[in-house]
Amino acid sequence: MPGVSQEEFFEQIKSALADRGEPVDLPDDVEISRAISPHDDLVEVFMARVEQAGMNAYRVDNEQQVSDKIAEIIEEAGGKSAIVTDEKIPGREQFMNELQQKGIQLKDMSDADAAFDADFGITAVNSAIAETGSICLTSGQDRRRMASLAVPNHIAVVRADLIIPDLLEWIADQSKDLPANAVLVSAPSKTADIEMILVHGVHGPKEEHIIIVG
Amino acid sequence: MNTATTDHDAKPNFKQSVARVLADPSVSEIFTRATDRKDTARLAALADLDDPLGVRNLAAQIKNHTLQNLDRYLKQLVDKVRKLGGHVHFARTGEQAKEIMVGIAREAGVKNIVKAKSMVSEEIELNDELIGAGFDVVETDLGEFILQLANEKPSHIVTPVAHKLKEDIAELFKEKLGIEYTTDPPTLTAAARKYLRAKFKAADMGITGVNFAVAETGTICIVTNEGNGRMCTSRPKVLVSLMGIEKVVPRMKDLAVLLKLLGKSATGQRMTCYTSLFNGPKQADDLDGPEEFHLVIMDRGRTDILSKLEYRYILRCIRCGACLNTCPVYKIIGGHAYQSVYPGPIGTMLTPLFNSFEEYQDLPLACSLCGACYDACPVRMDIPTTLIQMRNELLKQGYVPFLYRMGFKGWRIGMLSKFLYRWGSRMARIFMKPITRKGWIRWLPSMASGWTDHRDLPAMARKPFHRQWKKLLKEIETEEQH
Repeated sequence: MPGVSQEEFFEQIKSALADRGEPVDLPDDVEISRAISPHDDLVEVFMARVEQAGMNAYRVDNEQQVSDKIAEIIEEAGGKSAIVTDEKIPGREQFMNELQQKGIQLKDMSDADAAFDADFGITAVNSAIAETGSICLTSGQDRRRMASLAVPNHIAVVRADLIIPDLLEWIADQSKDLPANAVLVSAPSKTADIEMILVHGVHGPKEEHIIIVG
Repeated sequence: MNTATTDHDAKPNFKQSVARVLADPSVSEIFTRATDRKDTARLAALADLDDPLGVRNLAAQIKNHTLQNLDRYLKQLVDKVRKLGGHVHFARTGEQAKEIMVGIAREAGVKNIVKAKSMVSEEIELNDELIGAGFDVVETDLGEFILQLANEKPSHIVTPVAHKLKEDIAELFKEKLGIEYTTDPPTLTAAARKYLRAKFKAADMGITGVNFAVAETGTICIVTNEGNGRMCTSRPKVLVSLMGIEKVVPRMKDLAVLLKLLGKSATGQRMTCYTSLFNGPKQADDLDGPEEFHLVIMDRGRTDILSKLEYRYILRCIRCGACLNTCPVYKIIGGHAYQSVYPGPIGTMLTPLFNSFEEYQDLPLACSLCGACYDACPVRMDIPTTLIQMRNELLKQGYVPFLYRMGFKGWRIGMLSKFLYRWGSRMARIFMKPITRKGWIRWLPSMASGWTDHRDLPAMARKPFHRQWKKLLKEIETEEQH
């Protein structure tokens, strides 16, 4: 492979650092914690910030209501098909039945292209952050990254107790058990590249629906 | 600088390019509109933090510490990425980085490459190389896609088509994508989406830049608003990420501090739409994701900057573009006038350092030292002070014209002596009288004409202030006695 060897590459960096300058320490945990803004009602802050970013937030009490909400959202948008990941999504059993009854075509998860043709993608959420109004989706068994990405509409179901106050607290958890991929979704896919005019749904979903249970 | 190639083929001439854009008043109109809103949105978004200045100071501290221990953190990153199953390559120059990327693509037997927006790949003009080597390469960020179709360069590091009107894009899409002429941004965006979907489906290799790389975990972080970054890192079987050496951060919590600033500073978003963290190739039971992951770490002149204590801190830059959005010069002349990959305040520093002072000697002068960029920078880079330092270096290296130097030497002597100052101003008053028109001097003779080509001078007062003052003081005193 072309390029230079690791030794040669690092030699160059070391010699550039012959004079390291006045030593600067990394900020310790107390100093870093100054970047945290405390919040009282996590669910409330989370929902408000999700809405501010142009996503839709709904709060329900139980799994049956999750199912009802999903059916309602898909119906309202005139959705005909959905791809549902095989992971543990709150209310999965109920809404799968309901969608089937309503004649929504459920795409085959094993098909790599299925997400490109589905109207809706339904996934669970690994965690959520109140401060930034973000949901965290991770890769792993029974999940497909495309199911929350290639679809025009994404529905995420999150348990209220998974909402973490701050990005810093969230990221502390990310240093363990690394999944191959974790993505924070903080707004629907968008661009303002053409004359600063906002357009939603460039490559990712145009609509993000977040259902909070409990 | 022997490790870097120049940014443009033609010899840069800043004065000419500025004259060119100033002749077209629409340039300042377009760029003022493109930047003002982001500048205001940044301030509103930062107010989200309890102590924005405190967080910016933390960010600067983290970056300073990382840079002075860069060898240690890069080594940690390399080890972690390999442990996660990734391959790491090292490029001293842009040429080497391109050879490495072509090599990876050939070895993996790929054909179709999708690319996410990356300034570092703009530095080395990566696309030309890959296309020349026979690969199908497509930019997938809408702005970069438009530029690729138009065969143009970015004019802003975050919103690369800031210079184009929707009418231009309508014509371009009509010609290149064969769609009906429309200036409606949602319709244009939908056309690009449709075209690029097919490309994503067919892609067997993805190329991205790197916003941050975390040493303690080997995590690569990229942020995008459109979702193309996620597409490039999820769908193709081979993923290659290209980073400059300065992109490493020590810990995950350091990444969090920087992420709290990046989206807010760049576009006034609380967070960019998608923040992707990836850790090596896909794991055994993942249903999708890259099977092969390569990290290419590139120097290309960065160790040169690293070695100079007075310039090292410039490598703190996280490429948010806030300094462009707030700069009164950038707003008027736009991005292309700088004739380099990085325009605006960050470009006035990076471009001469990446290339040469000789070629880009005018850039450190393209600043009124107003300090707006210093005020906006999330990692608190004192750009004006650095530009003064660079001007000093220009002087030392002999890039300041002889007469200019002599003029200022004379000025200094005159200003330090009461006698010379008074005598000089009396002489000036006499000589300037015949060229004064309605209280202004718009033209100076011969060698001094260069000065008045760009400036008008107010005529000197008929009576100098110190003489006026004597009279005024008398008047005040008499008034007080009454």
